[in-house]
Amino acid sequence: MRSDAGDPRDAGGDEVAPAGSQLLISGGGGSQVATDAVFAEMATMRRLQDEAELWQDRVERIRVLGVGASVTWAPDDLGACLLGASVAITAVAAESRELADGLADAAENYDRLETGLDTALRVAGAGLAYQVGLVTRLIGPLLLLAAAAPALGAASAMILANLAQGRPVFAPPAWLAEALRDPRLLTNPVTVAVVRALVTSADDAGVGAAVLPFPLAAALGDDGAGLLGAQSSAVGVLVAARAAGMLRETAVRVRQVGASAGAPATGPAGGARQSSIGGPGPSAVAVLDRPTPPTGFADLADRIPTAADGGQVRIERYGDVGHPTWLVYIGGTVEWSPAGSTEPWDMASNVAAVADQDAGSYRAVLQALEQAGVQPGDPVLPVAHSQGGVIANELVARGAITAVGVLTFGAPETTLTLPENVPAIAVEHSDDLIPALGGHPGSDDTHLYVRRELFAGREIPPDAALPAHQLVGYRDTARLLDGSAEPRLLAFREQLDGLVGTTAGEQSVWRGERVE
Amino acid sequence: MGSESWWTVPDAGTATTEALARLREQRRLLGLVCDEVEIAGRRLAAGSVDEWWRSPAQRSYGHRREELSGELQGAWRSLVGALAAVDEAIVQQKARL
Repeated sequence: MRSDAGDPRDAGGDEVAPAGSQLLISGGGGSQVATDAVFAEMATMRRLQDEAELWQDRVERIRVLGVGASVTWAPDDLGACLLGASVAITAVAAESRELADGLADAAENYDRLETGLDTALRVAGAGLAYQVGLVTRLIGPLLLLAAAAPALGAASAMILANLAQGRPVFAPPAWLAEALRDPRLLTNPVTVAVVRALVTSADDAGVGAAVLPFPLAAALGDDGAGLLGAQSSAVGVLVAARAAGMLRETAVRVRQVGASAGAPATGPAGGARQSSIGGPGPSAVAVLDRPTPPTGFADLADRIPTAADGGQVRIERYGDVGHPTWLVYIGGTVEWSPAGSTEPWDMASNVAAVADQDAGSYRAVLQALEQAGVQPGDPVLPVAHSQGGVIANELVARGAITAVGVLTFGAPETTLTLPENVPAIAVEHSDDLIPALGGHPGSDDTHLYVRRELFAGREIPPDAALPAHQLVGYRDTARLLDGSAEPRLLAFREQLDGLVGTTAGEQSVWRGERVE
Repeated sequence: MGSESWWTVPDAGTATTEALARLREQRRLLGLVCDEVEIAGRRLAAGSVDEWWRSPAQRSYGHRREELSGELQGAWRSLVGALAAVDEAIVQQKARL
């Protein structure tokens, strides 16, 4: 019956799809890592196994009802036919079980390999950072002297070379500038892994500088009590930056900049559209079409607002007024300067959000939700890109909304604990640096991670900043998710269908601004 | 009421009726299994992994998947034969009534 065709446990770990179109799935409360095709295949085999076991029971019931005194082996003999079916069905049950088990083993082994590499990188990063902090504290003055001379020499040489070549005096050497400009450096899964380890370990340097013993530092860190990590690193960055006058938080307000005909034009209390914090009076609101219910990941990604929409938050309502379901789409970082502006989707919010503090963008989303009419207990599905993803996770983790799921694209990873019953899907490009800036997720993380190397086997655009982080790339990946038969992705789409129904909804777009 | 049926020896007509009922139940169950096996076979064929799975291990997996399809086909053929046999038996039983 079975050929020597090989062990199914080997099948899950190799390349299975053309470069760049492969989705790697992990997390979701389980320990398996594999491509979506492997998970879909595993589900197919488990379903077939279950069915075959049911068929075995039914064939037995048919036999018990009577098949004659003896099997005659004639082609039309009931007993002979039933025996043949029984043998074949038993083989189907056994074979499908073996194939499913093999794929599960392959996924477990992949996870063990990945977890092992990951842990090694984390421990090495933490140890190295600790040593750097310790050495800096103990022999810092000596190191400073030792480093100062060559650094001064190098700087002098750079300045002289720049003067000789007629270039700006403080321009970095051409080789360094070239290396930093090379998109292959930053849009690279290896760089992403190293940055993730460094971000997670940044606080270990501080612990080393405080001359705490390394075992104690490890016990406090991400792999121990979790008291240290990307979150505490971000707090450190905030303290230092604010001392230098940067990354300062301010009050925020929101105003509606677009709405479909039936969207609420006033807040729930009947007030004006702008927040109670105050600000300019109501301004022109663009008239938008009533949205059709989104049918999958691509529709959801397409509706995340960009600069062209005039706002950072889009809110859609489906269902009747008495039983609404809300979708809130939250955009990514707009302003990358640490100096500050009127834009709440800025670096100050980025760092504050990773530090789990009330970022300006977080408060702006809360105001938009309130003014759009979202009531406590209304089901809400947040969908977000980049910084918006951090906000979405915070909304869910803090219980600020009654979340029925959360979907993020390219969001910095989080150590926040989400409720177990809320399906959380994080789509990340493995060559996108931004998710790594959140460090490693916490040990009780329940996100289902869907990863794809966007530029695998493809030319990286030389003139784009962090091209793997752009929303356009994630929208392309969302289309792959829609085409996947991975059972958890299918379940999410089915849940979405149930949430939004088939009738057009209402939408509004909101713009947040800093007011100090 | 119950004790009466325990002591009543079924006549030829009753025996035939009971046999018909058993055969009809067999036909119902066989039809159910036969349809589900056919659907499972089609589903397995539609979800072929050949397009993506190219490494030797994955091709081997594909071979075993094909064998599984073959087993399903074999089961379906046997079930169709059993269904024909039950149909024929039902015709014969009806003729005895």
